[in-house]
Amino acid sequence: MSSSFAILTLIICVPFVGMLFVLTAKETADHTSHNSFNVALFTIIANLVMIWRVFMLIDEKQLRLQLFEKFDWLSVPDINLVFAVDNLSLLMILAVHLVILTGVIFNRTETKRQKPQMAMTLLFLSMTTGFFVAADIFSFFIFFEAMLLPLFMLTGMFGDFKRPERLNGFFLYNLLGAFILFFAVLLIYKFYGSLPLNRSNEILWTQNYGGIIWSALAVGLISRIPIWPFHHWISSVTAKIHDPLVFIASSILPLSGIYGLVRFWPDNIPTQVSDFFFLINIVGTVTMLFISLIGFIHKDTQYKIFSFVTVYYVMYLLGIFSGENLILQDIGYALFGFLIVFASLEVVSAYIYRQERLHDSSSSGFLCRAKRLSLIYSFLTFASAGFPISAMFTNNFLILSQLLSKNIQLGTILMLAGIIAAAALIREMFRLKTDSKECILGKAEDLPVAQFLYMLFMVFLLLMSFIRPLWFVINE
Amino acid sequence: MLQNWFILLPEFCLLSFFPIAWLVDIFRREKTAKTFFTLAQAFLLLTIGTTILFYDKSAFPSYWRNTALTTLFKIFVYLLAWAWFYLSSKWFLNKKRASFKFYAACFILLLGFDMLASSASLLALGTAVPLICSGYVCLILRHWDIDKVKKPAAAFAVSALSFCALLWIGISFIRFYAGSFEYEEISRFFAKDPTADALPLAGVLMVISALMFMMAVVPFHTWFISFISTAVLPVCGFITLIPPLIYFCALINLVKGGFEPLGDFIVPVLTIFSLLTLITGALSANHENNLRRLFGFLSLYIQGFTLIGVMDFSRGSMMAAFAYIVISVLSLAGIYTVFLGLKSRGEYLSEQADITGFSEIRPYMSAALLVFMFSLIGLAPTLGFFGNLSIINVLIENEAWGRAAILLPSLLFVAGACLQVVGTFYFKPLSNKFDRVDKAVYICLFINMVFILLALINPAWLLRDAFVILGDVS
Repeated sequence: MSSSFAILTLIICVPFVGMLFVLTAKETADHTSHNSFNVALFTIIANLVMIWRVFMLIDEKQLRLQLFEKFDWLSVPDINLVFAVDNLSLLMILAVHLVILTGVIFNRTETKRQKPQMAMTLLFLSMTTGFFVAADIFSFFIFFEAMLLPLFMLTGMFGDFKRPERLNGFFLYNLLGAFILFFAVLLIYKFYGSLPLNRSNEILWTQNYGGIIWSALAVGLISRIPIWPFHHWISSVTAKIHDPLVFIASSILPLSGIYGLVRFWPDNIPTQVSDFFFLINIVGTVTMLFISLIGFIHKDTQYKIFSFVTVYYVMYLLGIFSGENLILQDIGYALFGFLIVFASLEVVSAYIYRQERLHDSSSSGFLCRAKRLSLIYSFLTFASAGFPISAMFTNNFLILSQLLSKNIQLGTILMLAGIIAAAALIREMFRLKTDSKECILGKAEDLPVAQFLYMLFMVFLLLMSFIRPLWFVINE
Repeated sequence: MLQNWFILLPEFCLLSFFPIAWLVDIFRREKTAKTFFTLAQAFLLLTIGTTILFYDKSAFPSYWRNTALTTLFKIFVYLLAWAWFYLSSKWFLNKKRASFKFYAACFILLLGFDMLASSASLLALGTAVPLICSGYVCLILRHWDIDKVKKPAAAFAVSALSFCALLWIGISFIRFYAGSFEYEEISRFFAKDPTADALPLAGVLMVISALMFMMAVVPFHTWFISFISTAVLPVCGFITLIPPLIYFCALINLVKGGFEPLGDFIVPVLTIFSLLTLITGALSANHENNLRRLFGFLSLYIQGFTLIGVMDFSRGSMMAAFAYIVISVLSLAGIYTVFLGLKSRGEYLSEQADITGFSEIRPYMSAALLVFMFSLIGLAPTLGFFGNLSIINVLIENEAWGRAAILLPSLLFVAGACLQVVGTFYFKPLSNKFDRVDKAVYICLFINMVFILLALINPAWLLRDAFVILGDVS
């Protein structure tokens, strides 16, 4: 199916145009205006409506890419930009928009330097959307790399890093991963031309440097996921970010690796590759276990959320390597729920952290006095712990059962890691619910009504995604 | 005969700037940098017009031959020079300094570049190079504190004399064996027996070394870095932005016209030069706190990158290298434009420590710098990505794995150097008060950005005709 109206291009362009509008928005000298915030909010909501429309244009039962859009870009070398979507990519675009919207809404009060933050966020959103709609190797690579620039600026400007060397290292590390992928893309181009992503099974392991191509693809994409030995730079930056919007953006980066692997993964895995699976399973499981333990011991809530995010990303990575088509579809649904859960939890935690700093008080017992916050926080903690209240539950269950059936020992350790990550979050919730005299925060500091209503909407989305992941699609 | 004089009109236009400007300098009472810029602009426009008019006509075809290729490069260079003259005039106005000698030296250089680009014989090459060297000496001496520039000017003069001598010895060797100065004859001679004698090969090596010296390729780069460190901003900008395109054109003419049969000899020589330049440029930029020197090293890196790309002198590699060098020069032009906005209490700043937090008060200018720098790194989706893609794709197409393996990590070092600058502009607190930025800087930045954006959306707009011309050359 091809589209007569370039709606996919439009959903890439809208945040970009929004960014240009943000750049022209007026800011008052005392930083009290919300112009750039309003523009960003309107842009994201407008794009969400369009994404909803795209859902109705595609055949949700088909697993292949649809709504193809093609643009001639270069004649030498002959490169075209091709866009297309399927259920998985649309779900990812929707989820990314929702989580960024969540971050933006909860950053409304942070008016100092709001303009560059909103501009970079919209640029990041535009590039991320482009990444998910890319349907050929070059478009895929261009947006894979393009996400780095706005993310680097966001982390650098709003991450509160004392040592910029660490940030530079993070960027260079990601750039190295992108270059490895670039090398693979150029090799693919040499032997197969500008290959559409849905024909990646044409890259044979034994022909035309197939082994090198697959290895470079795997390393380039896995480098975005905080699995050993690639975890250092990601954890050293992401875990230390306290701005919720920037944390959410930087936590979306591993998603690009996961999604890339899902896209490239061929139907028939070369037998030579399957030998490496066992090794990746071991490394992944050990990474999960260690990170979940560190998250459990760590006092910083941010690190606990980071460890939860990492554990789940690695689990999805291992799910992809199981090679089942059904699992790949489940990963899409699970990721949708997971992204909303972690982003919502992050903004609520950041809200508590802000109140703590603002009133110079401990937050132990804060949830006993703030009912609205307590309701949302508890729901999100239970959802992240894997309770049957979001799309994460069913799909994680399927992925885990698949992994357990393949290797019971590794599957058990993996489950254990998930339990420890969940326990860390539940323990944090109990701390917030255990009343303490050191806490001076009260009802006045509870979640504002507007934000509470928004979070209720998120809760509604999660519940509905548990009942039927694509409940919002109304096909004619 | 009369026709020949008409064909030489572009050169006359360049040459006649000097006497007219000199007369204006002597007799006009009210003269500013704007006066000389207006004059320079008029002569440049005349030069551009006549160059286009006689784009394939040559007065002395055995010495200088105008082709679509030479015209392409010349037009690019004249347009760049025009933009830089405009920005430089603002610098001179702000500093209240006389600009006549600067513009005059630039026109001498443009004449030299014109001759170098059209060279069809070693004699023409041997004439153009000393002329350009003298132009450089005149240019570096344009400083109000003459003591500061005396030493680098003298050092350059000595090394330029040595390399001119080397060039002429090389030319003599080749002339002695090939029996002619003309590229075509030389090519025929080498085609007969490329490994005939050591002396003509030594001559080729000397000629190429002299050209590499002019290109400031490592190990002959020290003069360029010392120029960049000591010269005034208009001079730095001119010698960084204008010459690379002309040298690239001269190299294509020389190798494709005269030394093509010596591919097996030339490629290893160029490989050594290019790798040294690439590595030195990328590594040295990482240790620089001075912005001008940092981007000086990055422009060396660009030369190295271009040489690696063009080395095969095939159709694809020439197109790729051309795309890369044009995009890089555009990015460097943008960066130099930003330099004109880095001004505090009338002084132009270049130390990173002086410009921390610049983005807080000049967000648009900092954003433009960000785009130009990431374009220099070649990060998608900036235009620089297209340049990098072109060159690395050609290397992979030709299975030049070694060269590709060096290029990719070198980009990381360049990125490291640029990230330092981004960090200084964006992530550090404001530490200085900055002067109001001239409107001209914003105008030039805007035009450059629009150009880059249009070229990014459809690179064919920028490069289609160039590719056709380069395709004909090969």
